[in-house]
Amino acid sequence: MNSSTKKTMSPIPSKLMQLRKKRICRFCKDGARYIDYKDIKILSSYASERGRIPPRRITGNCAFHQRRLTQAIKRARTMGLLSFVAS
Amino acid sequence: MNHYEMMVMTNPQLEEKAQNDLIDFIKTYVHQNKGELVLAERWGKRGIAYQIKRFLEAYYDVLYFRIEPKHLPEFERRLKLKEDIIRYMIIKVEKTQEEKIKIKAMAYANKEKAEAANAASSEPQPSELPEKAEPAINATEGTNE
Repeated sequence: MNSSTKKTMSPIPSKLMQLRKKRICRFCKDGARYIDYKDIKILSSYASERGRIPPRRITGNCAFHQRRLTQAIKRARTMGLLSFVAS
Repeated sequence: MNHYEMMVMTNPQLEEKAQNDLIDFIKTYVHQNKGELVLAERWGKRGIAYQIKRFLEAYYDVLYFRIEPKHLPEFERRLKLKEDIIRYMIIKVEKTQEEKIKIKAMAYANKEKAEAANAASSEPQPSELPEKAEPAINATEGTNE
């Protein structure tokens, strides 16, 4: 029993890993260096239903652009362009 | 001289005159301190995502200017004294963005010139408009490289 489950279990995560690795950062793809806090269309597309900033493992962004994105969203929030909490 | 970007939210109940005075106050401060106004964008009245100082909407203005950083603390002190400014934010513009803003400013200036030409004479010179539009397009290509 143990040996059979191990055999069936092992290939599935590796396949998932391969699929996940293909995800590319959207901003890298567009060649953008700067993410503007005034560009609410892009920012709101990243904010979740509750208005939270999703983590990198969900957005698939690279570290550089995720940092930029969070900064832009936070700036937009202070200027009242985005909400802190979902209405 | 640093390049700054400033967003101001002002009282929505203000009349246009008072509103313009506030923005002029910012512009004159920049000019008085040997600064240079690059571009002033007017967003107009729009809703705020949440209540700020009991307001649910505000006049939004975005200004781009160059000024010596030593003038900023005094500038902010004066802004805080203005009760009709709900909130403001001054950000240093990144070097990669400076050219884009210049191009934007050029486009704005060209638009204004074209509108002025249209208003002045019912038959605007058609040769002028395409000439002005072309350098802006070339400049955008330059930033992409």
